[in-house]
Amino acid sequence: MYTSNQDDHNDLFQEMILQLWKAFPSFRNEAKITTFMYRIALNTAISGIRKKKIKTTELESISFQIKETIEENFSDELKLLHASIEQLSDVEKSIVLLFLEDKPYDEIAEITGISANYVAVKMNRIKEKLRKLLNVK
Amino acid sequence: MVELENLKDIWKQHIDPTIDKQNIEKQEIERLLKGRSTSILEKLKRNLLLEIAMFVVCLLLVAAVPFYFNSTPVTILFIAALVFIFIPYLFYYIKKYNELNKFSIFHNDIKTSLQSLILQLEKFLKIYFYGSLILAPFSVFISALACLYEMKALGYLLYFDEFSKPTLAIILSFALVFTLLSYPILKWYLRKLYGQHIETLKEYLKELEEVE
Repeated sequence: MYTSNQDDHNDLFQEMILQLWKAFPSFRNEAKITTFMYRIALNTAISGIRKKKIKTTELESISFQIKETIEENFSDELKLLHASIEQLSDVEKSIVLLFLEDKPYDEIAEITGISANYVAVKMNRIKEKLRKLLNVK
Repeated sequence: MVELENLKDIWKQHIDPTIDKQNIEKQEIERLLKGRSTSILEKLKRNLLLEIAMFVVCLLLVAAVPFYFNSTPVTILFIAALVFIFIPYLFYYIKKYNELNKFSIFHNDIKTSLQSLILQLEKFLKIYFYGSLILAPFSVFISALACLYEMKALGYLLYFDEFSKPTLAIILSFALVFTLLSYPILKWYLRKLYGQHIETLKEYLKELEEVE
């Protein structure tokens, strides 16, 4: 979701493993190991310089992309979900991914550095965005 | 139509089983760990190291100038530049490189990491900007002086005394004009190098801070 092709995906995966390896000595059991790992993985994904991709902000063009996805394989809900999440900002992607991984708001707050209340607010906004994107016919 | 309430179910149904299957072999991890890091911090370190190398080369050139030209005003000017500008700036560069070497952001939460990263990137751009601005007039001054010296040796521009005050003043003015002209180019280059990335990171940070 943070990359647009397989090569970039492999590079990002490698970078995550490298950063996990480097950061592991600083793990102090103050947080859960999964929280620590998510922090490193998402920080690596967000902070990296990625090759420019065509960024469209117009809802119409986003809808068009999703419509294409629907037409391609209407039953493939996951594909649709992926396509919708792709349209979110990198920060929103992090939050929604943690949400989908069933992380409680407290843990999402610990990973992102914002309060649990704000995570809830942010999640509502993301849900609204996704609802618009997912319900495009 | 996909309902939002089903999102987690869709995710679990499709992603969770594949995650369980993705066991990575020890050899594969070893291979990945041997790879070159592409993180922004590593790029910063590499850029700063390159800057230090370039600065050392320039420093050596500046130090060699008095021996080459054998002129008192030029010697005084370049020794002063070495002692008051080049050597302190080189130490500053090395200090910043060491700081960056110890710097680690990835284990922090995303907001703290973004704040630290933006700060480091802005610091680096400032160092790079002023470092290049310092180098610009000296490079032009040395090059112009060397050109004039060599041309005279070849029998051209004999009416010029390269060490006379007016000639030195013209070269110095030329170097300063070049520095002023390089200012917008340098700004543009730095924006191209990291500026847009800083803007993106700032947008992310703003997004995380907007309600807090």
